[in-house]
Amino acid sequence: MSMPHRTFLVLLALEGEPLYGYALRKRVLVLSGGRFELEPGGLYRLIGRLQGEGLVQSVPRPQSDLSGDARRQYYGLTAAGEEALREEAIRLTDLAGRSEVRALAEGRG
Amino acid sequence: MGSFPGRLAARAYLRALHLLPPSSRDRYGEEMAAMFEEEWAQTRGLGRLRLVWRTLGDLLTAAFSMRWDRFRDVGGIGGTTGVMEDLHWVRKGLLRRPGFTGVVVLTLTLGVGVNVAIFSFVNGLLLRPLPYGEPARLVQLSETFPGLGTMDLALPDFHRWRSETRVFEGIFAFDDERFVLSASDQADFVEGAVVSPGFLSVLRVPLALGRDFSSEEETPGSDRVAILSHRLWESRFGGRSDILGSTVLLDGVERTVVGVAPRGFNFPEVADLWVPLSFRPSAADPENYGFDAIARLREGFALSHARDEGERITAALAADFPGTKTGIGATAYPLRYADVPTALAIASLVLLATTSLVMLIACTNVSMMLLARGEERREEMVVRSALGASRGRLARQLLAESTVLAGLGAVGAVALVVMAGRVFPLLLPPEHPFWVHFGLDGRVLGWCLLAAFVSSLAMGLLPAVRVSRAEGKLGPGSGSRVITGQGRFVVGGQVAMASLLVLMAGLSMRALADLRAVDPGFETDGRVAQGLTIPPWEYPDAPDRMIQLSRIMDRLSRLSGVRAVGLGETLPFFEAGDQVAVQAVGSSQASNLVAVLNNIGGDYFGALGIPILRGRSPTPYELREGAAVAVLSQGMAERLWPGENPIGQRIRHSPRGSRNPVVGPDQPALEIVGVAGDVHQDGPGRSVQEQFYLPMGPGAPATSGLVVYFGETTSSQGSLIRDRVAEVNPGLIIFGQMELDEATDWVLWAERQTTLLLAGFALLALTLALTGVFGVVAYRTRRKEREIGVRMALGASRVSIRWSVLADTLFLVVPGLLIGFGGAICVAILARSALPWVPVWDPTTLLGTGALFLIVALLAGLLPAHRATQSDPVRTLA
Repeated sequence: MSMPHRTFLVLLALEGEPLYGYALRKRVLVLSGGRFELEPGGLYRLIGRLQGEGLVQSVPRPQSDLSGDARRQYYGLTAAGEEALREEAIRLTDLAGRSEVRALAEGRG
Repeated sequence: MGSFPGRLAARAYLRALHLLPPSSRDRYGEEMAAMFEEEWAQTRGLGRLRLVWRTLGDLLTAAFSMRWDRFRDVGGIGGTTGVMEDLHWVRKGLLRRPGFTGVVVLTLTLGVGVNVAIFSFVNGLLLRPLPYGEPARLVQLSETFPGLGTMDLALPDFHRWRSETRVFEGIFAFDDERFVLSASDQADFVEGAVVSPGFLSVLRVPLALGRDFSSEEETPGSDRVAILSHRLWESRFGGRSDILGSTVLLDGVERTVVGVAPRGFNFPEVADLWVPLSFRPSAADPENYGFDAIARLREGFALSHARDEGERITAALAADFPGTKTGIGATAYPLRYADVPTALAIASLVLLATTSLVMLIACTNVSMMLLARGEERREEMVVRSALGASRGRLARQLLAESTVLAGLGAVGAVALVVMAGRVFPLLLPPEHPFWVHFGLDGRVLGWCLLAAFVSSLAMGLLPAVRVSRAEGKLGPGSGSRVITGQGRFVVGGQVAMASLLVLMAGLSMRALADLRAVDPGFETDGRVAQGLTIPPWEYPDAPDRMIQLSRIMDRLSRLSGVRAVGLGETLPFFEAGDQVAVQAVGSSQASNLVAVLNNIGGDYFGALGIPILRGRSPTPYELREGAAVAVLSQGMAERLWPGENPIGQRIRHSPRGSRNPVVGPDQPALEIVGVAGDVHQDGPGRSVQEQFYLPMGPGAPATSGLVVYFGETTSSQGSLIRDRVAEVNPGLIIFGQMELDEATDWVLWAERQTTLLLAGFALLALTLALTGVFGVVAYRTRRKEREIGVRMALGASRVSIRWSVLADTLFLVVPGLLIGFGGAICVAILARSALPWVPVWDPTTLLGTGALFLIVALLAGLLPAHRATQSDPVRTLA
């Protein structure tokens, strides 16, 4: 079962450390090599769905945030979220490792 | 964020967040605001403008997508499971109330049906691909003179273009022509065309039999060949397979059949046979701009290339013919624009917009009916909800119901479209392009599905959202609140749309009436026009033809009751007439006055009742001898000699077929003997053109028009004329007989059809809207019976209650009327710029429409109120 690419990017961005909205957007932008710029509405729509599916949860504000903006809400992966992310990563790696895919990529490069 | 613009932007963003559904806003609103502020702080200058723009788009998208997610989550569209169950409920629900279902389906059939029918009209005219191979690459060519607009091509120019073209892979010229086809002692008119060889390959139309004309057949002398249409081949030649190589007699000339066109091909309009357009480029008249030309662009070339090439070629022509072709240009445009008049295209789009409004009114009516019925069905909903059906599920069921209803409506609509497909061709003039068909096709069916889908949403969504929002509160009265609350908008909208349509129709009818009332410049009472052709192959000499005409006129004028008989090369309303350039003799400046030249005989002015304002009409002697005298129309006299007496002055005109503004000094000078009243030659809606009349003289053209003025009208006049013509010579060909009384209707054909359709749709819209308004107001008042009972019990008088119902109803209807009137006046102002005779302010229609709506609404409000006040308050409250 594959997941939409932008879902994968959001989960990947939250892997390791929790992030708040704006930081999450910037991280997704970096991870996608500048190709995926999530707008706020789209981002929170996605977060709402992922929360509903139990892949993402809100987490307490980390000590490192010194901004003082009380409105910042941090999000992190749930156990199910980590599991889903790992499955997708394995699927992608398998796919990328296949000779046909490599041949295509090299042929083009 | 501390700056003023920053604070303003942050505040605006908080406001804009209200676009989102409340639950999402509560959950993420603050974070989103924080994010926006952070992003604002990190951008500068133009970047901020971009940010605002992006944010706006983002919020709008999110507003829809988040709602869609929620709808799906409550089970709105839960995949295919349960669809059968939904349909089961729908079927049960609809069959339980067959009357209700019938009314809804009928309303939708009419609403969707007229819309799709008009779409099929637009489709037939504007959207269906032309039946040629790769039609997008076909263009129509024309030549232009400054100040004279576009005109067709002269043959030598066509020849030049064809031999020099680099952008076209093929090009051909053609002209309509009517032939007499004689076969087994029966002679008939057959519409046809002369075409240059290769026309079928340029159009990419494959022949059913035989071959296209070859290029040798363009040479005079070796052009005795013909191609038949499929239907002519079947009707006149029994579809004989050995038709190729046999000969037919056309206009007395034997021609060999070399091909049969495919079924349904009657290019350009109604042609049934084609013969080669043969000419010698050196001998063809360079100033007869009388031939249409169509060309196929080479792969990779565009319209602009064709125009450039046209300019290049005509520049060379102008250099070669400095006397007559100075200033000539050329242009090219897509074939469809050449075939469909702009006015008709616009009219069909206006009608499509009109019928879309009709459809919307029908949908709101049905929506209100569904809501009212939902009220009656609330028990079913409460029970099913209590039994565990989710809100989304119930909403989905209501949507399913409206979808099924819309589907049934669509089936009815398709039937209506099929019928309309047979009626529409009758609305067009008989000579319309052969490719215009109004049947069903993929586009029409697609539009029908789209219309049905939109209408099912329009009528089902409101009830569905209500039910899905109502949570556990599906108790008594939830539906009525919807109707009373939203009723104002529904009634307002319906009244606005319907009054807009009625007013537009009223304006259009008024405009038509004004057009009919325009004085055409000639009399129509008791006058009969008769077209007459003297076969030039039997009478090749013009004087011989004139002898025939004189005999006919002589016999006709001796009939009892006939007051005058006139003869004209063109008759007003029937043909536009040839235009030539005219110059006053002795005037130094080159005049570019272009006027209609009409050769006349007999008592033309008397027969048509055109007044002679100054001087006299030509004497019989002058008419017979073709004396160098002229009668000018008043407008033309004013143009040439403003404020002076033109009698005795002289003019010259360019030869026929040429509209070149330069009039050669070798042209004969004509003395002006009279000034006649202006005539609307092309119909009352068109402007008056300058016109001058010359004696026909001893020679006559092959085709001309007779006008017979009878003192009084009797039914046998038509056959009297035909019999006299036959007495003189049974071989003459008569056509197009018409009493001039009817000619006005005939020439205003397009305006009349559009107005009729518009009026029909407005009537339909009015009926639907009146029913809708009556329904909503009556329902609303009935729901208030309880309140009325309470107020009566508390001592309110009947009169005060009636007044309050009255005020309430007016409040409901009047805003809609005002909006509708405003819209109609805006439309009228827009229309006025194109049609100056359209009145902006038409009090009769305006007041009539307003009064009708008010009366219906007041009746709908007062009748139930009256009933409630008459009955015992205790019973009402029980």
